Amino acid sequence: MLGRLLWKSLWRQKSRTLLTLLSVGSAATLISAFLSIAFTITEQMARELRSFGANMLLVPKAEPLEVEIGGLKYVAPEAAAYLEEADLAKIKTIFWRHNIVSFAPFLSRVVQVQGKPAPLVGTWFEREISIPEGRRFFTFARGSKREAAPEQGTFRAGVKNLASWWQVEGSWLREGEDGVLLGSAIARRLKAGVGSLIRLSYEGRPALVPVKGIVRTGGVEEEQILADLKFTQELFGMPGKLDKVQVSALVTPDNGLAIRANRIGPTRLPPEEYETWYCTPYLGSILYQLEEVISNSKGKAIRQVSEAEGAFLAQMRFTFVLMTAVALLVACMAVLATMVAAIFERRQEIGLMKALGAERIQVALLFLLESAVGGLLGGLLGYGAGLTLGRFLLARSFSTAGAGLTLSIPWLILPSTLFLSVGVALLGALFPVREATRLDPVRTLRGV
Amino acid sequence: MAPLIELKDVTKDYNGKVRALDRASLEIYPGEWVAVTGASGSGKTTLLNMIAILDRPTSGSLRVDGVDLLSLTEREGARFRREKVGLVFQQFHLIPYLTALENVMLAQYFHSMADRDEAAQALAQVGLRERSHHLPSELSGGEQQRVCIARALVNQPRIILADEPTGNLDGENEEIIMGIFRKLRGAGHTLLLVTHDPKISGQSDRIIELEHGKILSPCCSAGQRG
Amino acid sequence: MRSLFWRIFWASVSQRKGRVAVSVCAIALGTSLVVASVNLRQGIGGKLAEELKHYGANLLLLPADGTGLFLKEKELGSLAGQGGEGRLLEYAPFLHQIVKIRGKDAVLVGTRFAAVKKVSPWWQVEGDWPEEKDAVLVGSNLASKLGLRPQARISVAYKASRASFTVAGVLSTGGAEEHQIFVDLESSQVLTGRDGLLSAVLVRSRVEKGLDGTAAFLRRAWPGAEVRTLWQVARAEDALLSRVEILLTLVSLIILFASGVAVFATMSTVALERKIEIALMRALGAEERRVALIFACEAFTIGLAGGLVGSVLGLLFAEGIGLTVFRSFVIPSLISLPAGLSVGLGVALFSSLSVVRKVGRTAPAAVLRGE
Ligand SMILES: Nc1ncnc2c1ncn2[C@@H]1O[C@H](COP(=O)(O)OP(=O)(O)O)[C@@H](O)[C@H]1O
Ligand SMILES: [Mg+2]
Repeated sequence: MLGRLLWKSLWRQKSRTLLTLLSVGSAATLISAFLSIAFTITEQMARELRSFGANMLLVPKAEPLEVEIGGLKYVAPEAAAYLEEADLAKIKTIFWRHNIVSFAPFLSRVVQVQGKPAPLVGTWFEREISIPEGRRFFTFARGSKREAAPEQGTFRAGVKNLASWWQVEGSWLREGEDGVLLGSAIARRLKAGVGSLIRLSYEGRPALVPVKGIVRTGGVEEEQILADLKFTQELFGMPGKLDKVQVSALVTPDNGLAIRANRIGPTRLPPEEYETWYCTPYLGSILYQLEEVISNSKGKAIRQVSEAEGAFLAQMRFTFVLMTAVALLVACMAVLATMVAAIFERRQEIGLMKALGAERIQVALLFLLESAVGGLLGGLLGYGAGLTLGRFLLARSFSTAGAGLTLSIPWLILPSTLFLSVGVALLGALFPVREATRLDPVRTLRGV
Repeated sequence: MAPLIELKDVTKDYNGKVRALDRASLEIYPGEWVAVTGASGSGKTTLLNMIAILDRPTSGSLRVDGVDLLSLTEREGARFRREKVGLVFQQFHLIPYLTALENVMLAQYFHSMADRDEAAQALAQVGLRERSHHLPSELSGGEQQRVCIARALVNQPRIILADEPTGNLDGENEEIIMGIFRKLRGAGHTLLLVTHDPKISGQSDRIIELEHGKILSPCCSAGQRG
Repeated sequence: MRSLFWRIFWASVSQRKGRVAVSVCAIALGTSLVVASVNLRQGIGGKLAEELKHYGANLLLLPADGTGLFLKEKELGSLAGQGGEGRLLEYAPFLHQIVKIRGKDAVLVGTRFAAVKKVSPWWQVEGDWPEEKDAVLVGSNLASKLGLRPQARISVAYKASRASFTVAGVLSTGGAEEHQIFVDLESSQVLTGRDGLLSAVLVRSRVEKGLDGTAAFLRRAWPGAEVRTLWQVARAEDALLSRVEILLTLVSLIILFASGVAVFATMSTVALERKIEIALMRALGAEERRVALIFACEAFTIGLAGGLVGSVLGLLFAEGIGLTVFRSFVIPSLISLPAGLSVGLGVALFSSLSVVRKVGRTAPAAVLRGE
């Protein structure tokens, strides 16, 4: 009988059922859209920002002291130390290979241009590398095995992906192409433009190269001559050598474990903590993994980028979490209002049931069940709508939001949305049902 | 003399299944008092609803005072009701948050202008002078019914359609109401009264009996029968 | 005598207190969300822009070509007088020179530490920031090469002059600074004999004033300086801000929509019970317009009351968020009040009138029967 009553009441009074669903549904939409945004926004933003500068730097372990002034950098020859170009591709074989967005190698020395000193920097502009077969399983001290996300095929490295803010007049250099890009400040001093030839010399070895483009960045590059890595290695007589590598990788904000690892050194962590740390993409753990694959290297965080990003993103996430909290609160209250209103209208019905001899508990059960069903249905509808909406919004706001997002929607959203919808619907019904079942049926029937 | 109310083959179906009125034809002349009887569910209320154009027939034609009701728009229908018809509902339908007096005044308000004294007089007429400031929930069923009657009379409509107006009344109050109806007929109003009570139908000029939506004896007057 | 119209209005509000309260609450809640989100949309964009200061300087001033190797400190001081204080948040002067420390070449940088802290907030110092004139920060790589720790004393030589300093802290940045040594600007000017001269100035401008405008201002105010926009920072900031802006706008729209729907549902639920009332009025001969007027008047009052309460509530929400996240007030947006009120009024009117309309489309008899 209860089921029948329930069904009839929901189905027969379609308008009211529909309105309840509408109210719960819109609240649930709000809640799940906000939750999905609050949970993923930091990640989205971080991904977006990865094209605005590397957040990590690899230098030789015996990092030589650089004496740099006016853009000219000198290193005492006996102190020079290098990384190996051959190691570069291994960057995409670390445990967190998936989080490496881009990287670029650098080799620079001061050369003479038209009788004056100027820095010549060799790098990769855009280079397609094939990803070597990396380790799939990583074993840890306790014997546990973790599988790394597989990466196959090719990977596009080079400054073009790393430094989206460079404005190049003319064209970028292609792989192995002869020629240079000039920083706009030095180009002005040399009175050189796209197409002109400039004469370089390093320790007496001359080279005549065409200018392919002018670079404007506002940074140190303004004073530099940029060339393909291979060209500089040959000119400097340092085949296969590098000064440093810039890496751009997606990282998780540091928490207590990461801070402790940074302080005492990861190897001193207890084994299970070490494993957790190693398998979380902290800035520190990725640097550590990079040091493992690039021989003789030392990893450093580029603090300007990593700090600023972290601070800004934390702030923004906090804002959205608070907005979510407010939206949550208000949405719940709105549902409460609808439920109160809906039951209010049915006080006569409640009075009648009591007059027919129903127990308070029986009446309450019916109405609460009805509300719960409404809450559940509305919650499900709203969950679907909110998730779609949240994804749509993120896609509109971020160019990088795409397929990856589906995976990162936390499973937590469904239960919490449903829990809230049903809970609030019940809560909203509870008060008026209690009032109405407490009243004496004669009065409710009279409509007092 | 032309009939005031004229139904021809009026049929009303609900959901395509229930036939509440079945080819009902009927003529009522000005100043007539007609009683409508019949078993519960025989279509009495439906008949009144048609005449007040509260609902539209499935087929047939319907004229009141020479006007084809079916050609009226919603707005014109409302105008027709407020100017010509007084309605007494079976379920009273009083507005719960207005007092008895205000419920009566509501009809005046829509008709022309609310007049407290006239409304109070209408309530006094039905024996409710003392209760005019009570809310419907504070009145008994009989009292609510009398408020409903006062509301139907207050604008002095030409046609009064009353759906079991004495159903909840005791003998004394019933007599008061019947007196009012007699006076109304005397003043030339046309009355259509749904009732089960032979005592009441006996006072009418004519009785119409409905069965399964069909009019059984459209022609006979009460006098002829009695 | 009061007109019956107002009597109906008043009776329906005062006799139906519970329902009216629920309606006002619903409207107030919906409005509060809208007002809060409009205020946040306006206020937070600006606040977040301020948070971009974490990125540090976005402009760099260097000696212009052909004006010599140095900038004049005096001219930096006069920027403020020319209207710079509104545009410039902070600036730090620098003077670079190669010096000898313990027999090795190193770059000595004179600066003002208080300003550097703001222009380069990411500098990480192990030990202390220098307080005294003779205290220095040593870049981590230089420190490790020279074996320096906080509290160590060093002597710095430039040509014939010398000075001795105490290491206050060791600096990590992940950049070129790790190879340098930082001292107070005056000390470096005295040591190198370059009184009143600078080699570069890093500027953090107010983002909301527009970077190009500030760069143009600097060029005008200081012809001897070349103004460079640090595009890495500028572009990253642009990207962040525009994303946040779009997102906030869209979020405000969802809020507007969802709260509108939720309030509509509540209002309609309340109005549903009045179907019979509406049908009765029509049976008594009232035209739909007239019934609508009665209901609209009531909805207007409820909408207005709810809208006002909700606007105040929404403003409180917005200020609460502003205070919690940014520790400062959000400047109330002027359009939030009309926006909130019109949502409140709009939904109240729409929901009650839609019930009147719905009843108007069905035959009164059907409604009176209780369908
Ligand atoms: N809206 C409706 N939908 C379906 N059936 C209806 C509707 N209104 C009336 N009926 C049916 O039409 C018949 C006549 O009803 P009614 O005129 O109210 O009878 P009564 O003579 O008791 O007043 C009844 O069988 C009733 O069930
Ligand atoms: Mg009936």
